Amino acid sequence: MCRFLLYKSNSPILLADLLTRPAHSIIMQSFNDKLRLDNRQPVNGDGFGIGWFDEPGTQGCIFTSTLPAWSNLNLQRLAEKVKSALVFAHVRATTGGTATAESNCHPWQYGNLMWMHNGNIGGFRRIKRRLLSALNEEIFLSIQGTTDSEHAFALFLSMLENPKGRADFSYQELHQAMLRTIAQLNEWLDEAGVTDEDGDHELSLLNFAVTDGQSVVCTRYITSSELPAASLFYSSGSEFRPETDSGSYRMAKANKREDVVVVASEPLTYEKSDWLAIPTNVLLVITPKLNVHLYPIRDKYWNPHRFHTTS
Amino acid sequence: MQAAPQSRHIAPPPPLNQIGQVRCLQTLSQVLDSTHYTGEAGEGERDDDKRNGSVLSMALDDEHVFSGSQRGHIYVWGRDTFRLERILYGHTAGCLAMTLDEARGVLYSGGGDGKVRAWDVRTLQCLYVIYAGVNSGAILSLAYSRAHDVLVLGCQNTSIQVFDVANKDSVSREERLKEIAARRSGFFDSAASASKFVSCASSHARALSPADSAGPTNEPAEEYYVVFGHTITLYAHSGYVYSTLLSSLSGNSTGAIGEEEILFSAASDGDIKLWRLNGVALENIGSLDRSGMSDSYGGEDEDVCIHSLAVDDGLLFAGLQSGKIEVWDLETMQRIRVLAGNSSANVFSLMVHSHCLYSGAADGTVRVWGADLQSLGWISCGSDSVLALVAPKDDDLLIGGTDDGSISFWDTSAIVASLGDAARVSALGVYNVPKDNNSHQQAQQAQAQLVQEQGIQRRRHRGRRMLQALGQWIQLKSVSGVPELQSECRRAARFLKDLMRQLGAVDARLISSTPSSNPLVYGRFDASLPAANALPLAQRPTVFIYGHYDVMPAGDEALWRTDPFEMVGRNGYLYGRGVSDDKGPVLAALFAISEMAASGQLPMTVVFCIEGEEENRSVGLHETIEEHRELFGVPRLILLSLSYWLGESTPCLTYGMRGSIAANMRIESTRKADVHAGVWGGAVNEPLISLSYILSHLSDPSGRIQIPGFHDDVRPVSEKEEAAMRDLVQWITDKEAHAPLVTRTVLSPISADSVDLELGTEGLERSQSPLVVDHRAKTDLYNQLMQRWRFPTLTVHHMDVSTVAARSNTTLVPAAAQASLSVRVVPDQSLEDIAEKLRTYIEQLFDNIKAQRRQSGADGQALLDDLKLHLDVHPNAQWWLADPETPVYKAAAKAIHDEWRDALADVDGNDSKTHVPLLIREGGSIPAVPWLESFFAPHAVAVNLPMGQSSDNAHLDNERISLENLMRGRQIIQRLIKDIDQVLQPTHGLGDASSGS
Repeated sequence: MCRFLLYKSNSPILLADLLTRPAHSIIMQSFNDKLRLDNRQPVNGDGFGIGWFDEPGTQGCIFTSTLPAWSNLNLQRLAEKVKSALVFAHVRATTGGTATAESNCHPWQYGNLMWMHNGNIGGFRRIKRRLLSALNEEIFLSIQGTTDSEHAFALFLSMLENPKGRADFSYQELHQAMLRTIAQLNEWLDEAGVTDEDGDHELSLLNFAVTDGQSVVCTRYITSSELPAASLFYSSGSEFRPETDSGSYRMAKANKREDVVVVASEPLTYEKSDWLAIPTNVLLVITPKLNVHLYPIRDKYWNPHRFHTTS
Repeated sequence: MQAAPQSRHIAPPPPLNQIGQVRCLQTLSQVLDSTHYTGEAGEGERDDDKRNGSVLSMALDDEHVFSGSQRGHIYVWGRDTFRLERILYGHTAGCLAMTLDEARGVLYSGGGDGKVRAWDVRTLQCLYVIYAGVNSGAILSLAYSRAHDVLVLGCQNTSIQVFDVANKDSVSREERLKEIAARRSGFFDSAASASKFVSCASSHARALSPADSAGPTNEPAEEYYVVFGHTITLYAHSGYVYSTLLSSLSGNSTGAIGEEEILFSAASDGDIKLWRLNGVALENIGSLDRSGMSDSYGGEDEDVCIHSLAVDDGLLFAGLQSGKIEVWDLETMQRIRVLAGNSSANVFSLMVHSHCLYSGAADGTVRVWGADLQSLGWISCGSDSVLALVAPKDDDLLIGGTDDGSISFWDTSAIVASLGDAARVSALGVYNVPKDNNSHQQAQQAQAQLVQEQGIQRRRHRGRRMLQALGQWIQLKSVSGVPELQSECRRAARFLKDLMRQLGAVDARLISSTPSSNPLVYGRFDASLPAANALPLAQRPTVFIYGHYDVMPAGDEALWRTDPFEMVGRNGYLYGRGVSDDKGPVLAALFAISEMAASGQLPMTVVFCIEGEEENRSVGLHETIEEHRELFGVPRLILLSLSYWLGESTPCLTYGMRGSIAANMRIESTRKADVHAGVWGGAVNEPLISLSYILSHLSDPSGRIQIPGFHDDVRPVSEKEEAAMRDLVQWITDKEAHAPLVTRTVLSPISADSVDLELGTEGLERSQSPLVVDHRAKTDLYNQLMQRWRFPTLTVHHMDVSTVAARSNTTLVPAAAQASLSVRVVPDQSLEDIAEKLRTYIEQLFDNIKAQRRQSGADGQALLDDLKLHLDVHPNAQWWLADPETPVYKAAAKAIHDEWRDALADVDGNDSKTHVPLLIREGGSIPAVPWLESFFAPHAVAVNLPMGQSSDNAHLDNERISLENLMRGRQIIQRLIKDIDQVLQPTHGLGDASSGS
């Protein structure tokens, strides 16, 4: 049960202003998260990963470590120097018995695409072989680790045409591939009986995020029509910046244009009006021009009357 | 002659505001600027800093302009005064949307905090708070439907929500509060340190966020409402709902009879949708198909956000992220045009006004499009995004808010006029009643009708006409006493003369003064009743209005924030050289009188005497007036506005000024040349030492003037006077905490030292210290004012030696030394007597030197040279003291009080009656005033009505005048003149002389 954060803006931000300095930064979330659903692992200490892009249309860079994020000096150093306008960050708490290894740290990349996941695929072992056999050779061979998350990424890639050789994808294409990935997982889970009402029902929490370096598509999803999915918040405005030196950050809204969008498992600050929950089973798109779109995922788990909560 | 080479590329046209097509009347700032003066700081706590001060939304009603700031505060500005009247606190995040229910007088504001606040526009109190649906995010747009009496909210979470205003109380209060309580957020509300959550609604609102308790709060809202789920259309769009607009399909936003009202919504998903309001439910009735035509005008991709919508005459306009504006025909639902500005900056705001489309964009421009969608040009707002535009229905005015926190008021009448809309142009010209309409009755009737029909509108147009004239007049650099600017002075004089003619003066002319000095501008408005004009002018009682059109040089232009000779309106003030001294007050008087004449309400003949040498010792004024005495009739009242309020907020009436005597003295040696001190020193006279000797005997080290008999005639301070002065000091320290007068007194180094000393000796008795400070400050202020107004003073301005060499070479004995000094005299000192005493005393001191020198010569010290004294003493100005008890003064005080009563009423109630206006004196001198009074004696009495405030900075950099003061100054003159014949009647009837002195 992990925490993730993604950030996209018109102009680069210093990673420290996202990762280390804000009051409830992802580093804080790694040992003091507040909105955890799954209490098997109280801290997110099984490694972390940072992915960022230099410029649109080029491959991003990933830095992962199996050390807990709060104790990694290199992360502190890098965060004070690296600037980027598109950042993925992830702190990990392993579930499903996968190893604490760098290959199992989010995010992963393939061509220009970068992927991370917060949650787990319930009963993944029961569909893993099915999933792997559906992959083409190249994507199958690209899998390095053992996590359900990376396998979900492989499935996502198989929904795209020529995922390796292309510099960019339209946000609509990524959107559709994401929907198909979730639909495919659901289909297999159904077939494997994982989601049987009377059986050994294991829930899947599918907070996925993917980017090609220009668009971002992410989901807040659960295989249930009643329960809330793992938390996911977003915030947008003209600038994410410190108010004081003490880690008090705010999303400035100096105009009616979104120049910055942050999506995070937990709000990075305690400014209530800066953060908005992505409703459960909704897909969020950040377009290359920083327009935010929200689409309900209208499958069998869609329930417009699901109990809404601000958290 | 060679033809000019043709330009190869067409330069972009200059902005309309640069070529004078559009004038900026005023710029207000939500952001408190550190360079503002103390007086401005007192207007309200503008705590938004520049980074957080964006104007995100605007609305207006008849009296106010409302601007919503990034911090969530709503600033309420007087539409006519441009004054900040109030800051409405409540929203804890940016106020992104506002709309007005005009019939109810309710302003709705939508915040980034997910709440709508309803404000009473009369009391400016919050009526109630509406919580938008759960997890709505920011409220980005608001529209109020009169037809359905509902409020429509466009939200960040892509929903459109309807709040049923009419039936808002149908859900019980308990249920509403229960709903609000159920929304408590686990994350934020447990994190917030003070989670004093209780079910009581009012404390709930405060506990929600620490920001709630920060800053002053208005009256706590009594009622809380909630937008419940059944009136929310979730996922109405797939993006942020940036714009909602109610209109009929024919495009009449007011909603013609029988036409259905349609809701248009636009969002960051690039969709424009149409909705029908079925009670409180929304029914989607279609959308404008933007996607299919993406290539027809240059490949606009689908990733484009729509920020703004506007409707006019069957057309819908959509402002895009890409800088383009789409034009849709609502009849056919077809896109008929795409307007492209030069830039690719977000079109944040659209406004249709007088059939022109205005678009405000992120590149700091407002582009203007005519009725046939041709571009009419653009207005430049610097580099700041134009986020909000509003325009009053009844005025050619466009108000734009930008992300640097400023609000600019643009006069668009020239654009409207250029489109040939004759009706509107004539509405602007109403101040100008045709001259040939000389039938008094007719004029009165016409006026009554105009007043009825156009009331406020007319007043605004007249005010604007006056400001336009003042702006043009300020541009003329009429600095007197500078030969190269003499032609500019003459142009300023001609400008005024022409303006007087335009405004209906029966006579307006330039009267040439002494050679090489600037002409005097003369204008006359005859009394409205023919009977009052029966006497020939030379014998007719008149009101004589004195002023001047010359100005001081700009001084150090680097100190000015804007061009001194370009009038700029900023935060309720007009800035520019001469706005306060004295062009502004002169025009206020001229427009006051011309309006009265035009409406047949002028009881007496009024003559204007506006000179051009006031700042240059009024050279030639006496001679010119003497020569043309017959033009001025028999002045009964001499009216001028050439002084300032004592502070910033209390109107004043000036009744006394000191007189002045200037003197130059020069002590010369007969040797004519500087000599070497080492070679000749001891054997020659020392002019500078002699000069210093004389100067050092003019006053003693305590500052008391030593001229024999100098103090003999200073009128003793009566008990009444002292009491009145103490009362004045009390008022000014109580009410004018921000006035420079008070702050400087309290903070002046001398005073501060004394206070510190006292505190030091009193040790820890802290409870006494504020009293001590207070008492000390008042005593200081009392003494200061007495010294400035009531007692004479002597100043040495300057000392110098004969040659440049002697000034810098420290081994020379100068051949001559000179000094200039002045004396300010007070009642009952005689100007001539004091001048004579000064002369005699200096000569005596000089004789003394000579005698002692002779004595030393007799004792064997031979001197090679002798000393000579040249002494010029100019009695410049008599002191002037009016009697505030006379009917004219009482009438003037009443006029001031009545005019300002409404503004002061809520502050000080009854107290203001006895204190407004404050009766004040000035330490300075205006030679013309006592001279005119005595020249036109025995009938004339002078009244000096100050318009400006103490912070006006006359003669200094950034000279300014409060626009409200100027407008009210004009009204005060009208109030005073209206019945002036009655006021002056008694003395006139008796024919006796006294004007009270």
